Amino acid sequence: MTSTNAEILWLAIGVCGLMTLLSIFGEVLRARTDVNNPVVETFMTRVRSWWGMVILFTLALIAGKIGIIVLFAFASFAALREFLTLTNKRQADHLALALGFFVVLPLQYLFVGLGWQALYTVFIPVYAFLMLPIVSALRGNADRFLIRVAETQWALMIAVFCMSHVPALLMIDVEGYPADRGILLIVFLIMVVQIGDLLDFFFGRRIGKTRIIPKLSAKTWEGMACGVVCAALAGGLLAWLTPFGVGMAMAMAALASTVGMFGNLVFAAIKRDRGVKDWSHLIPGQGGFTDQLDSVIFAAPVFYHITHLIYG
Amino acid sequence: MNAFWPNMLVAKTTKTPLKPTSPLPLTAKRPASFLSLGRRGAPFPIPQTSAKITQMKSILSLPRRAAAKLVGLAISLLVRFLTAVRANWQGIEPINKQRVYFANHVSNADMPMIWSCLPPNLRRDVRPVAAADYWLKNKLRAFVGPEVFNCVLVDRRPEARTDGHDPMQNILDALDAGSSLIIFPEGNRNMTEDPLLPFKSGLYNMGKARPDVDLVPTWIANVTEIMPKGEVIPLPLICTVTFGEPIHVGDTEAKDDFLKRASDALVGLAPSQEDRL
Repeated sequence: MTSTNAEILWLAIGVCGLMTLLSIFGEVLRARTDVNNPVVETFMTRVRSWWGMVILFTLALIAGKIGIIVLFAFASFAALREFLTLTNKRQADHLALALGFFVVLPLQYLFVGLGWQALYTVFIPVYAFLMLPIVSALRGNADRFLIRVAETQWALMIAVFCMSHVPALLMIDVEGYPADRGILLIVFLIMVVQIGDLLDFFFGRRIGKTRIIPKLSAKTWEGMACGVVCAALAGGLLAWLTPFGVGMAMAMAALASTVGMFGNLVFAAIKRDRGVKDWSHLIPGQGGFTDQLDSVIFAAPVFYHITHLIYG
Repeated sequence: MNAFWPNMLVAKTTKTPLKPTSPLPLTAKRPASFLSLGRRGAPFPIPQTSAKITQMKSILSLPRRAAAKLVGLAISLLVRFLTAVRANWQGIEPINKQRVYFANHVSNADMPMIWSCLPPNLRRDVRPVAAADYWLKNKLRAFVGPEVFNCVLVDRRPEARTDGHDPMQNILDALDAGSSLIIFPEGNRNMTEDPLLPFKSGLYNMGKARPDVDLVPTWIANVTEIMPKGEVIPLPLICTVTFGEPIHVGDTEAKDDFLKRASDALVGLAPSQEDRL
């Protein structure tokens, strides 16, 4: 067993241990409170969804590079579907949207898989953003054209381009950091961002007072600060996964977590604009894929490019 | 002979105990078997009546039934993967009660969409009412329509009906056998900008004839965007099927009043598009 595999195994054991604790905690709560307490039931539904995600992610890690790329390609597909369900479109956009789903998305992940950095960092913002409006315009319907094009492009940006920067971390070449450890860098990013979110939520409920944008979301400055600090601490503890030193790992974790939390606010604004509470109902207890991954989606490109700038 | 062979299957299948999935007692007796009903409900005697073919069919019937189940499973998985179809049980619970789901109709994907988002125990007892001229056009459709979806086939064209084919009688037979139905009361796909075409009288007739059966308005949202007319590639957008509160034909209610009320109940389930420009 290579050292990377051994570390994946240890991580999986650690996370499963944490999940088991959460499950036991939920069962104890369930036994103590009345039957069918909605808060406890929501918590248990979420824990079950987390279990599913942990298991899927671990399987993808074991399958290696291809597993991770396929997993995120599907997550992109699900997120793009949630996003485009809510956007403005006309029949004139049908072909452009179909191309987005069935050509742009697979190509982007193919380029990531092949490691063609010069292409996957510009393919969507340059080629897709110029070609798809041409396809729409050729169908001749100018009604709300700018809005339709802009919304479609944002959907591709968020759901495909940003998301694909998570598996793109596999392709970063850092001196003295073996290529097969890129997988661990992904684990690092996702874990620190998710831990930050979780504790932001927890502390926001406990001690949060000042809402950041009262009209938009329940996020508070206090909760966010605690979340970022916890993410940084988690980043320090997980520094052995990364090519960074402990201090740098903490700084990167704090940065990723902060960007992710503001990303979360952006998504709250979009949802408010479209009058929905969740992006979809595909993950029980969590809403949609976009709800689950919003902060990772925002953090990934920033994390990728800064790592690339400093270490690449 | 032709009427006889499915009975051998009936004897086997009726013995299986009812699954205790439904919290309420079943209001109607279950259809005896998948195939026997498919036969009895089919309005057209499938044109091979020679004893030899019938015999062959009965030997093939088991694999055929299995194939129908498998194809059904594949269709429901495909529909769920492509459209992530979600059922919104607004006015009813997803329990096994005899119902007529009446829905808006804009594309050929509508029926598989409702069918796929029903839980399996409801799906087993539901029979879409579908056009015979469409579903008997070729062998593949004749397999998928009557056998996979277990459709109640009716002929929309009076002039083409064979002697003794009464569409309403087929529908009532299916209801009397305990099946739930899916119907599209507009009679045709709605190609207009209006939310619904005027309803045909079939819904009223069955509500009048079988007043105990719940008539459930069922709105399918987003299908026009998934597959606008004239397009070939479906977009994998999320589709929602909303089930509203059941309605019944009032004792003294006139036909047109009822159809108007049913149509309003259905349109009332459509999600508002205010957030779009």
